[in-house]
Amino acid sequence: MSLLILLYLLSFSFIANSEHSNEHDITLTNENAAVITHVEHSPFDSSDHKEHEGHSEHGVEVLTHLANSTSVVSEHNVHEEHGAGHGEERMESFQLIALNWEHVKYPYMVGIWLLAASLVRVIFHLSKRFGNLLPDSAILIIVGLGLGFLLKAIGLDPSVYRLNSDVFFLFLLPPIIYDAGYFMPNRYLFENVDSVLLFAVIGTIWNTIAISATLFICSVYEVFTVQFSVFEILLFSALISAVDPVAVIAVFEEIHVNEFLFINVFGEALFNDGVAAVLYFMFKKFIIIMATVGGLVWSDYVIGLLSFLVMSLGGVLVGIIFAFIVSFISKYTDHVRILAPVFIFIIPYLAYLTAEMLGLSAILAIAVCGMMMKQYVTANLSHDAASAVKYFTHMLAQSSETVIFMFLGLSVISSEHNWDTYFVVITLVGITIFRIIGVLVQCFVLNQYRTKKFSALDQFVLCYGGLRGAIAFGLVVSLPVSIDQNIRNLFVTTCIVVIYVTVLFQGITIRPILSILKVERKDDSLLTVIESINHKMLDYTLAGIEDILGQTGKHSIRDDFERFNAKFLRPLLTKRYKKSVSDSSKIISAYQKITLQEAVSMALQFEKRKPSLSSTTPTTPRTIQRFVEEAAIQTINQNENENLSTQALYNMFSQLLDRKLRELRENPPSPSRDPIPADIHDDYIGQMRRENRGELPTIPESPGGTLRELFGNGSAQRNVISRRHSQPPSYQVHPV
Amino acid sequence: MGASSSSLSDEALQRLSSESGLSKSSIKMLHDRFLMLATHKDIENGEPFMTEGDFRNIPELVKNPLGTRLIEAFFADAEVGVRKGVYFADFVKVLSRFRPINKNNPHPWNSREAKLRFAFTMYDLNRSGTITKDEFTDILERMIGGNVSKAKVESIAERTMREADKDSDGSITFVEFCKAMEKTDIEQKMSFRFLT
Repeated sequence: MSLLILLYLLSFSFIANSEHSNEHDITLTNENAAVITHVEHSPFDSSDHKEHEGHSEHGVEVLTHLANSTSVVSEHNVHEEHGAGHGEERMESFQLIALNWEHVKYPYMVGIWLLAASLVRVIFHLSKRFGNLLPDSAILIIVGLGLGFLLKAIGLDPSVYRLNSDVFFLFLLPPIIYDAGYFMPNRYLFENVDSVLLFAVIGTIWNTIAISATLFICSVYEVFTVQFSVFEILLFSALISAVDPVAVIAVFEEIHVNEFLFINVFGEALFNDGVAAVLYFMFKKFIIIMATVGGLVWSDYVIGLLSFLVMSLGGVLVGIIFAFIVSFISKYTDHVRILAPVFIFIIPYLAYLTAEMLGLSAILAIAVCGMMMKQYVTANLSHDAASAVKYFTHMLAQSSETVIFMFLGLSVISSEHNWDTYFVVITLVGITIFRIIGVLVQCFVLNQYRTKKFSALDQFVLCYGGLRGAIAFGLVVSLPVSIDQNIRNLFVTTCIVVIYVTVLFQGITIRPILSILKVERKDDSLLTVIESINHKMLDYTLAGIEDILGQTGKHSIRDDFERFNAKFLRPLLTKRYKKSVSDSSKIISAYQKITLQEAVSMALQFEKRKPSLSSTTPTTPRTIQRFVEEAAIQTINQNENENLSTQALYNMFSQLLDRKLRELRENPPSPSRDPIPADIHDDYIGQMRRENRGELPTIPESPGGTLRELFGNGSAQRNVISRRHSQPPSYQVHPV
Repeated sequence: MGASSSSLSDEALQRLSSESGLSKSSIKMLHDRFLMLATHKDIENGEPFMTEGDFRNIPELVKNPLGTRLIEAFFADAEVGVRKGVYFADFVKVLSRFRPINKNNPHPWNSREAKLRFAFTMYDLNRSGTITKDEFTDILERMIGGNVSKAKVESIAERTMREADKDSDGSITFVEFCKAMEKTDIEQKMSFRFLT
């Protein structure tokens, strides 16, 4: 904590007083604004020019205020020109060291925010007890709150650390949703698509209508301090009923619930954002039309309802198209391997922006894009690149999330408030009750039609997992200015309270509650080969039984899609693919992972005992044979006191060896080739050496690959081991 | 069997229902489907039955990589034996395996063990009670053989045998099979909700 305070004091210590610096840098503001901020075109309100201005200024304001309030006031600098930016530079004598804050202030600020927020998490996890007590999101909010008080005490203008909705929706949100889509377990989603869609669509609509009805009736009876129109209340209800995927990921990921629960809660959270956003924009447009024209015609209503379908399905379509594009491009990136991940990130982001531009659901677009492109892209990228993509995606998402929650904490201080006790309380009670009713009714209906039913415990978790978060906040700060300021402040205040209550209260208590109720935890172990084979076998069997019964059920549909996928899509979108009727990749990858794991652990054992042998012996079948024989003997000797049948073991080893030797003979490896082709060497010398040998890195796909990886030359062996340690755990079943 | 050729008597319906645990409406549904598929009639009592050819007439089934194996398993599970085809009672028996388990009213024909037994039969066709490496390789070949070299298929098969074969006798018994599948939610996976 003290570290943080120090950091902040350092950065803000140059402020004489914020008002003063504002004055001085007014001209600086305008110039830098043009240069730095491109957030002028607010995509949210294409239909209202007043709106447009307000937003662009707001966007500009934030970033410049950010810089201004922390900029070094000119008196402290040695005659640095302010007003002309980088134009004239004057110096009276030779300055050895000068503080050039103006030059770096924007990136510096961004960097410091990110650093501070991440440091908070690190510091909290240093103490194991504290680290597990609260979910990270709660910690960040609390810290943000504390920070807000601190900054206010310093006298910093609150608009500096106000979360701007454009920054949020254009920069902070996309990585999170992309991460969610990319790591979505498609299989589970497909199996639960009925429940997920029901919760997302019907559930959200129900919540919106119920809450708005309640609030409106109360407002008619003048329970509240302000009066609102129907649409204003509908707008608020739409944004407050959205379960937030960011918050859900943040909380649920740490508590490892089983996949069934997770996919339902998370799937709902992800897709209902599309719904809530659609409703929100629909009502917003109604309001703006009202303000512009004075009233709504029936055609407005009809088109508004249509917009629902158009926005959601349009977003999905955009996602699919871009997924197609990126998969196709990644097929041809063999020769520019390093650049392949660039496409993986840019194209989905463009999908988001395109959907945003067209007024479609950007969240759905980028989520669907991530979901669809995964299988093709991972087949096309080299192993290193795929790992890099995974790591980077997670990293981006985590940093965004961290910053968002920090800002949410700060938002209490930075927003203008209008507190109305009744409104807040009724909203809180309302969302809880209506969610419970919604979940119960929907699960009741679903259970009539499903084999995997929602138990009472599942339903409880579903109710409890209805966390509101940043997206609601993002929407509430982008309320149209045509709504009265008091009302807007009321909504903002209530929204913040709701977010705090759900994230803090529900987020903190959910872990102990789940362990008390003994909810089934996720099984983190790797799926064995036999399990993956059996799953595949059962898939086919059940699809076959469905055919015998003449029913078209989930299995047939999935089977049809897989056949279509294998016949058309995969050959089109992945490289080196033979047309086939079935998809065997899961079994093979499970097998390879397990074999590789075992092989590496075997190698680790050997290296411990015989470090010299590996570096000096060349790779020939003879040496390999000798090596394996010795290894086998060592293992057998080691296990003599255990009840292992040594004969069986020896047989196994020799069979394995014979087969590997046969394969080696059939595909003789070139002796100098790197057994583990790394895309990127540790340093440029290594890179140069490889280029001098005239080799291109290749993906190890020949059957002898495994053995070569093991018993290549010494450095390769070390490579295997070090890489194994330094790689992020890529073999675990991730909930996202 | 006592049933007339094209409609099910109430008595037969009742008998089949209590035998299999399926509801009467499900049995009627199955019966309609059976009549659509069965093209052969027993000479002695005019009862319809299905041959392998009838099964192969189902278009989607042939496209299924495990289609022929499923047909063979169907016959094996129904214990057709001397009779030449699958009669309605056999049809009901095998398909009742896929009824969701009712915890309040368990039935031996669709218990977890019965379901696993069917899955086991998919591998172990000759019903020897054990899955040998060749039988396993056979199924694996059908599922992934098109994409993968024979050597790889064999190594995967070997790997699997090693994983599951706890007593190292070279084959997988039913008990070992069940053990390997204990983490899988068979009850939910091998059930169709419309079979009540």
